[in-house]
Amino acid sequence: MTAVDVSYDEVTRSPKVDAVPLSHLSVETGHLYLDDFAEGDRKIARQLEQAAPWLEAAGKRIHKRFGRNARISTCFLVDDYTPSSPTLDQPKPSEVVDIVTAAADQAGFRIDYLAREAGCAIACERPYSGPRDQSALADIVAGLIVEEAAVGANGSRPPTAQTGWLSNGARSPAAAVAMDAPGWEPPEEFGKDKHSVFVDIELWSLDNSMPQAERQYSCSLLSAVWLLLRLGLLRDAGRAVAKPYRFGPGETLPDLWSQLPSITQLTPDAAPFAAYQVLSVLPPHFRAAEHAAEIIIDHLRFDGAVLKQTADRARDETNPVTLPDNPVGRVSHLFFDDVHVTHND
Amino acid sequence: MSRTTTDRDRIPAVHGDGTRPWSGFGEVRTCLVQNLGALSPSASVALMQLTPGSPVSKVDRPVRRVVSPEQVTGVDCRLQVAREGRGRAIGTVLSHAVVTNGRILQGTAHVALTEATSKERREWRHYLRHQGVVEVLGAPNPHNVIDGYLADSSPARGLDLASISDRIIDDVQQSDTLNHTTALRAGTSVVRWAATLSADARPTAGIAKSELPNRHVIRLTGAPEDLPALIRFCEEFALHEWLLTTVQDVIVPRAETDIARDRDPLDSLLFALNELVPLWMPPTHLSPDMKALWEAMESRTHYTRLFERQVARIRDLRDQVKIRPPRRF
Repeated sequence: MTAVDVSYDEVTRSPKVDAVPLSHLSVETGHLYLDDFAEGDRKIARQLEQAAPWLEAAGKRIHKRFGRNARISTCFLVDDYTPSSPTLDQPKPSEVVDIVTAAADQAGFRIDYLAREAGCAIACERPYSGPRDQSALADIVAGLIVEEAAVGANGSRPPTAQTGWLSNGARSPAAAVAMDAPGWEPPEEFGKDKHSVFVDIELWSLDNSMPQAERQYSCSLLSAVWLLLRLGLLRDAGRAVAKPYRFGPGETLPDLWSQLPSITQLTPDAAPFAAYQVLSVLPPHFRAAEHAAEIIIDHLRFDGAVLKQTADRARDETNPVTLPDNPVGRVSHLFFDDVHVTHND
Repeated sequence: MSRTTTDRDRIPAVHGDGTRPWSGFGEVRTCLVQNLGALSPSASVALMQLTPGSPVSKVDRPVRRVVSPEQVTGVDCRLQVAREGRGRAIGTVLSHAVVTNGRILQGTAHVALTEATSKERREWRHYLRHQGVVEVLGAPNPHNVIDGYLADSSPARGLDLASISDRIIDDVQQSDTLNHTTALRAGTSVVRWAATLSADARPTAGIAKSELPNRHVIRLTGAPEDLPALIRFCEEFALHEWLLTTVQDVIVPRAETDIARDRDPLDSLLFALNELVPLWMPPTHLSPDMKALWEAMESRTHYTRLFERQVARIRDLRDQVKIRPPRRF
């Protein structure tokens, strides 16, 4: 008798991982609060004008490295997560889209995608999306954090991730009892080189005024989500999340920010939103949160399948791209200065 | 082992940069889900969703097996080394929970040991790239490391996979979707295992029942690529060992006592027949190598025959109760 080979498998055993389209470079040309649009286009015009030369320079470099057909997309982030003014006073999405598009024209480039920060906490695929087509991205990223092991940690104690803080070292032991502690002991960065740069990041706070305390995510964590979306590294049970939505010709934008998709595509022929490399051109006050976001990303456990998929795609480009193992190695920042020209009229 | 082993793509056992593990450690705890009824497929999947957004693995045949995403615990500790030598392990331990047929819960912690890629501790993201791997500094003798781990006490002095596997069971059992009662009072069993891995080794297993109740120790060998299959073998052994022990040491003796005291044993007898007996499903379908390993284990232990004998005994007791019903209820 010959051996007969029969195989049997079930698709729910290891759900497949979606691939996302990728550009070579994604440039974040700015990040503004909803209130910043109260004065019309003044703030955004300045922001985009500052970003323009760096965008041009980055584009030149990418084309030089990866060829004339290298794909570059631009995006802009609007912070609707922590509104300080009541909903009624907020500018409507359609107004902001008009301001952003006009300001970009003025600055000499186009903005391909408009994203909103609350859409990083909970991803919405479509306008007016409900719980069925939303993904709690901030919860997902918070769940991927693996705290750095302290020296001596053998698994006996549960990780302290539940507290809502992440640090890059061992906290100062005297901090809790500083009043009666005999001597102060310093915190220590893990893997420091002679001296520590100890960073402790608040990931979320709890709004205790609500009957069911809901997590209010920090800017640091949401920035990490935002970077990961642009790197094309987030999935919800294998599914791609926060895919850009393009409104059809007859379709109008919703009136409320919460009804807008996480990412709205503004230009018809835009290169893919996510990219092998991401660059953020930002004012200096975002520096701390962006640093914190990189530390968070350095503490995430990634799905090996997603990393491999991205690396394989990059290698298969006409001009092959070699990505570093470390996702943070694909991120760069440019913080411009606060220096202004004084006009003597 | 052949590449058809079903768990292969879940657990990357071999370092991307070519460092191959020389040993693997693990611990499996097995108990009943603290819920009066069996969980539905969707309830099992919801219970195993321990990490939001990470996929839960579900297989319906031959028995429904739902596996949680791997949890990652960072460690940097000294190893418990028997006889002589010292070692420090830095990296991450993986753990996952398994629900079988909505009834049995298992918590598994496992780790692969490799040579250190540096003399010092490296940046954290290096260890996160190789999840489930600890790098060992100090080059202790592998046999001493394995013996030290298998004999480590509680609380553990070296890697504490006992606490990690215990914690994942607790995390699941505390879920507010469960009603926290069971149809049967049965214990938790523990299987601790260690594998010696070398490039051309064939899978073998040596099982020892401990002097402590509900505890087994397994020493395995295999190639580094076999590690996922060895982990699965230990989980399957733990499940079947728990079934046999529960039927033989809990259900049958209690029913006999009940009958002797004129109490009704029918509920637990029927629970065994309806809920536990269908779970006996040796994992020989997984791959030719798993089949060979399991059948070699059977030829030593006759587990299936022992289980069948217990099932026949349960049916006898049930029939006795039918013929002569107890007077006290």
